[in-house]
Amino acid sequence: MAILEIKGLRKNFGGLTAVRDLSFSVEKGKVLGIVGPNGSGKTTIFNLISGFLRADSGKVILYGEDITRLKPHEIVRKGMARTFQVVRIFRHLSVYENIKTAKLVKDKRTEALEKGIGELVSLVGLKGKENEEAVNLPVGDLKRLEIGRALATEARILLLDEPFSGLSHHEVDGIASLLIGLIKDGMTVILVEHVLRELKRLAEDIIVLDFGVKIAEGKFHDVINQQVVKEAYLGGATGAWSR
Amino acid sequence: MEKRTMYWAVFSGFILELFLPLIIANYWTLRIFMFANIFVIFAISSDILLGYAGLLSFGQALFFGGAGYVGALLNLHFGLPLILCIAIGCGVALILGLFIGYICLRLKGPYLGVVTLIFPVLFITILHLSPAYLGGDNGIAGFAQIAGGSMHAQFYIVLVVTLASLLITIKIALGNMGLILKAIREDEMGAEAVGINATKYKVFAFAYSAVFGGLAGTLYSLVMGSVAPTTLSPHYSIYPIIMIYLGGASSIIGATIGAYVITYLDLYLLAFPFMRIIIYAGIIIVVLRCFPDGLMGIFKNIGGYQKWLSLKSKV
Repeated sequence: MAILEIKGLRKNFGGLTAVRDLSFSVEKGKVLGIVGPNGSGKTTIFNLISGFLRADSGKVILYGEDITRLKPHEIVRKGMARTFQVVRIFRHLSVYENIKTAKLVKDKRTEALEKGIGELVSLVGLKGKENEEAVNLPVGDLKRLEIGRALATEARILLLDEPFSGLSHHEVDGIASLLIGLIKDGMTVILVEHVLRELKRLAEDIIVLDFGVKIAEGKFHDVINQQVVKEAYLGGATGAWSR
Repeated sequence: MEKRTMYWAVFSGFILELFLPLIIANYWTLRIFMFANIFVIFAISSDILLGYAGLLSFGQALFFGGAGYVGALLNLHFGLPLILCIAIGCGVALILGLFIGYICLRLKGPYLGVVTLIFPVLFITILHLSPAYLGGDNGIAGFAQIAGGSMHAQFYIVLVVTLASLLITIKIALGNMGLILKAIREDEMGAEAVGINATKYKVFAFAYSAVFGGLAGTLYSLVMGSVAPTTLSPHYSIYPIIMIYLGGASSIIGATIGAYVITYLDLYLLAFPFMRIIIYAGIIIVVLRCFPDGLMGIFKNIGGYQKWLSLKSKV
């Protein structure tokens, strides 16, 4: 059963169509990867789904409810949270305070709050760094913190925008293990990623975008070998741009 | 600073000031302390807006002077009791704060500062254009003063109101509300992404600073026994900003210290009106360049240095 449905989503910036009549759906507990070259509209889709941008047309349906016109904070309260390509952490707040801020949205009871924060800090692998100011953390820990903050909202769907970008191999492995754990626990994830090695490990299904158009969709191995996908990444006369 | 330390500092200051009229016989020195306390209310409420929510407003004089005028006019023309004048003055400031907060929602940084600067200037023009009712350039006088003008009674009333304002503001600043405001200051988009309604909290910050700015303004005019258009001048918008940055932004005790220092300095510099603005500008430049966390940051560094020294001595 699809818990998130995107129907005919379209977004124009002046004369440029960033997303063109895009439709897809995600089932509960599944991981969907979104790939495409730079400027293909991946982050714009996340901004449209999470309410940071208004779609010109089309619908975003979450658990059967139309959330297209809702504001970002309202969408989070419906159970869908996101991370950003460039981490948007509260830099001068501690790890503990960063998680607490997100946890406050759902739970204000002190005891439950404290327990929940402690569990989340351990889950994302930041135990012992609770009082560290976020500004002092390495980028790998910042990515972990941002995922922890999204989990603190009690979201059941995560939109992760390039969680592996700018990380060392060691850090990538750590984040991948964290995500595998979450997926095993039934979390639904939509993942925008360029690191195909990790995407292959995590996502069963992927969609490929080029200039805001969905050019391929299906199982990872089937899609990634399609000629149209190779041309979108490497260039060629039959890419979406020329059609 | 921890909550317990903060309350300890506030209550110590309060106890100390309780005995001040017994120690200080000089009328003017006591009066300076009283005005410093009024500016503490003004500075700490503005700290919620600037230090915690990160919203730079050059329009705080509107709440201070506007509420001062409302309180004075209500007593002068309608003979309302002073407590009611103060309450209505704060209510008017609240409405103005909600209005400005709402229309400036999309603005940030210097853009917000410039737009908010317009409002008190607009009200000064209105005052100049309607001299008969509002007193024109000379302002208004002749309304009742708090405690009939008794210095000691006024001092204690202002002291108690300041203590109450400090306790309420600390409660907000160190509670969940303060944390959410700081999150919005750090990254508004990030705050929205974790389910925070940034609009609601930004309007709250404006409203809070307006109500307590209005409280400070009505106390000021009702203690002075007169109110003039100068209370709406940009000086009164810049005062709380200097106080906050001097003491240390997002530190209620810092803003309190800043308010005391600037109130004293201001009175000593009364004889040199042109030097005042140069000295204040110099303070802001030096503080922001060398001590971005203000006096509270210096105190913290001294603490860190002492800790380092003790570690060295153990080695």
